Amino acid sequence: MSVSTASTLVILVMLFPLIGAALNGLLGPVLGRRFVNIAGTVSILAAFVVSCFVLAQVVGAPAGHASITIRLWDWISLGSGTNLSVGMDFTLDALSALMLMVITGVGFLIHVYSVGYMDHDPGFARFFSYMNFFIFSMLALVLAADLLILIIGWALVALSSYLLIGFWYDRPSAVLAARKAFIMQVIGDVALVIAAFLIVLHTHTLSLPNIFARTAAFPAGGLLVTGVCVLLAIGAFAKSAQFPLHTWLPDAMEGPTPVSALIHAATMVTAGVYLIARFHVLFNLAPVAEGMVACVGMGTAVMAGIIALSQIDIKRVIAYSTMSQIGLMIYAVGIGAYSAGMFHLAMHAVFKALLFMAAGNVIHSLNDEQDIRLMGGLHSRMKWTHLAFGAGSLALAGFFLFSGWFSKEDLLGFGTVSGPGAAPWILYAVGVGVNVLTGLYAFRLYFTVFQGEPQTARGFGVKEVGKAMLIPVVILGVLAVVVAWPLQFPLPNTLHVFSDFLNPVFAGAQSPLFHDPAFGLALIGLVIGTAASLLGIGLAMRLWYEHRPDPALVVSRLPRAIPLLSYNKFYFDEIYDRALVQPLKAVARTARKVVEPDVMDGWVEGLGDLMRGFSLDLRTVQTGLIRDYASIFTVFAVLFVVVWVFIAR
Amino acid sequence: MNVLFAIVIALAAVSALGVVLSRQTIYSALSLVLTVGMLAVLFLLLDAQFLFAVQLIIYAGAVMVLFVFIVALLSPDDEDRPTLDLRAIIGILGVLVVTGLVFVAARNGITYNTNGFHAVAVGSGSNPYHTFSFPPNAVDNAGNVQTVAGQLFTNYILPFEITSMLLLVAAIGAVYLTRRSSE
Amino acid sequence: MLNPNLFPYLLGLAAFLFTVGAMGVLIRRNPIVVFMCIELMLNAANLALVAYGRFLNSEEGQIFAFMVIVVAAAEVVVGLALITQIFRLGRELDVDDLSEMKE
Repeated sequence: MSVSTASTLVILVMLFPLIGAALNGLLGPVLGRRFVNIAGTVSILAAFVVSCFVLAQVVGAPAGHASITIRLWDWISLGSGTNLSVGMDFTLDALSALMLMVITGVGFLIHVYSVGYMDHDPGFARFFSYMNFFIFSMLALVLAADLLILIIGWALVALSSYLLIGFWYDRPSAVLAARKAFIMQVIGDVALVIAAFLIVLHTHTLSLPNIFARTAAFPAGGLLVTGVCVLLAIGAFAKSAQFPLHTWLPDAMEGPTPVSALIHAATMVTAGVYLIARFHVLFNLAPVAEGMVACVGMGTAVMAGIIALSQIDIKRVIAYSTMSQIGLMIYAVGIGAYSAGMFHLAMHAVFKALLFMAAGNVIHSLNDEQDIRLMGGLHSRMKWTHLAFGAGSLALAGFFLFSGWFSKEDLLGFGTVSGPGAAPWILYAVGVGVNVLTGLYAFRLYFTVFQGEPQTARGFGVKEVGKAMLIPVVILGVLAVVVAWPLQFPLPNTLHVFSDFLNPVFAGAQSPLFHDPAFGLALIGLVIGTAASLLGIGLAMRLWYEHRPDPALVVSRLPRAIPLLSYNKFYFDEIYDRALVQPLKAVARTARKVVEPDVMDGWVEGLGDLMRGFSLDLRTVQTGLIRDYASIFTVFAVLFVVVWVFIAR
Repeated sequence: MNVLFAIVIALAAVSALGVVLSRQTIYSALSLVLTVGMLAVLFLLLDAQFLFAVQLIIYAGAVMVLFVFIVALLSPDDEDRPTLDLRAIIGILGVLVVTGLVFVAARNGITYNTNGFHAVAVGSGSNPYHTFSFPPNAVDNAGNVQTVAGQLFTNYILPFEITSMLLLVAAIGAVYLTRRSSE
Repeated sequence: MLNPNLFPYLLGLAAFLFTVGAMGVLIRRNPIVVFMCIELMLNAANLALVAYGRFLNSEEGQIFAFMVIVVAAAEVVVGLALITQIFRLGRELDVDDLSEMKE
């Protein structure tokens, strides 16, 4: 792939969504719904087509030439000494091509879906403008070959997310949720920026290829590289809603459902996984940070899975399942199984977008009802949605031969051996537990919503949604079943098209934690994992097939503490409130009551009084008579000359 | 030549006093016309032919006519007789002292350079007036319209343009100030 | 032929005109006369500029004098417009009477 081809592709793929955003934002309200629908979707379709070209270029490139970094133009050039130069650098390689396909492909389907979903919303132009802008920002993030550009993309997706969560700005809850999401992500941004400072301090460059080429500046396992990686990981955790920065994601469901599907399931929240995969060279030098990442990922996976069991809002259940699945991805990149993590990212993008959009169909048909206790019996009334949702749930639960099965078992297979001592076994055991949990919560949702009998009068009369909302769901439903088949089989030395594709990116350096499992071990792991998923699904069927009246709590026989913790999301919001918000408010109150009136106002007003006294005295000089002014002026002019000529010399 | 200078300088000084001391405003204005005219003559003697013309046309012509016109239009009272109060005495003293000081300083070659003021003996080597050269073509060139215009439209084009803007602003301002407020 | 010894007299005249003008500004109450005195001061400055230019063999003095004339013309236009406006308002033409600048 030549530089000029790569430049053209990069410019085009980013330009289309940007133009779409500008057109929709500036002209959309004037030109009307039809124009916005076309401009909004076609721009992403065009970006998708360009992404396909990128993929073809990367696949078709001869071995060793699949990666290219281009500089569109110089941006900041600091001269001698540091020689720091920042340009509009973008990378096209397997990793960014994969992300391009996910973002524009799933993004396009979600845009089509949005045409139907936002059909009656007056803010359609704003919505599509934001959505296109999000796609642009996300593309900038994944294409960036310079840390500064990456951070800009990183911040712009947070901005788009903020705008879209708070899209219905007349709802106080949406505004609060948007604010919460933005603030929590900014915590991650700060960590990322500090990491960038450390990197530029020691490598004198912000360009990613140069950083990775100058790893000599980072002694392996040293405090410095560990610190940098921990900071990067904190950035990733904030973006990917991992413990302890995860509380924004469920609240982000206040946004329109397509937004949840695109940003808070398929693309933006997986940016943390992408970041760690992109910085794998550094992470490989910091096993401690990797271990921390793996543990946090797995911990979040379990925690979110438990919480998902008792949530009653359909979107929040899926949000917690997203958090849990991203936890698995983070775990995978933490143990160095980068391509497995990216594989799960891609598969997850498909089936999670599908689940969200199918849930959106349900919500839409039930007139914005989101409480699953009031749903049920939709299987015969919304056939296509039901089928698609079922396929998505099976994929999510990791049912045999569905896409989620391939990716999840693939990454758990590496978990059996990667890591020191007994750690892999413990984490693997937890991972199997997550499999059970996934089956449980996925099918709790499915059974409660689609099986049984309708719980409200409205539920008897529901109809299937329109074509614009159905077709993307059906396409993704088919994809959720078949997409993994030609790509990867979760056993070593079988089908490995996907890992071969990503291999050039990750082959250069390997994590000290990472080991390839032997075939036999992987097979045993696969059987156990599959069985665990089936166990979860079976349990869910036993518990919720007949739409129990109170599905809020999992099993009443369990110790009371667990359902309570689950229902209350482990009290994280309350803990943050007590530990951070309330003390800060107390400090602020004290400042307002004591510091502000006595200390600050004291000297400010004292100064003001002093000045006022002075000016009252000086005011008498102002007679308003021109001749007095002229006299004073003359006297001082003469004085000036005298001083200047005779005294100052 | 020197006699001419003496007459012109004396007339200029006397008419300047007339501006300040005249009881009637119209006399002040006419005295100022004389002062301005005398200065025009001095400009001519100093080889500044262009400025001589400008001084006559703009000052003696336009500005002074404007003054006389305003005086005639408004016919202000002639009660404003200068009184010999403290302010006037200080003023007279100031006039005498400053004029004397400047004259003596110029006479003795007290000059300012980057090291500050210092006095040099008349006729000494470092006396700047001593080394004045008066090339024969100075009369042709120095005050020549071409020379001034050459400077004005090359090195000083920006100040020149700015002054033209200033004139425009002044014209608009005057129109605005003197308009009758519309009911 | 110009005599270098004339220079002190020209400079002295400029100083005289300037100080007389300044004194006029200070002691006269009629705004029209005050304006004339200001013209006097500007003319004094012009004379100094031209004289220096002549005796230093430079035409820049004339350039600046030219600029001063333009500025003076502009100032007179605005000043006299102000005076007519004051007169039209029926006020007495006396600078001591115009003390609104205090407010």
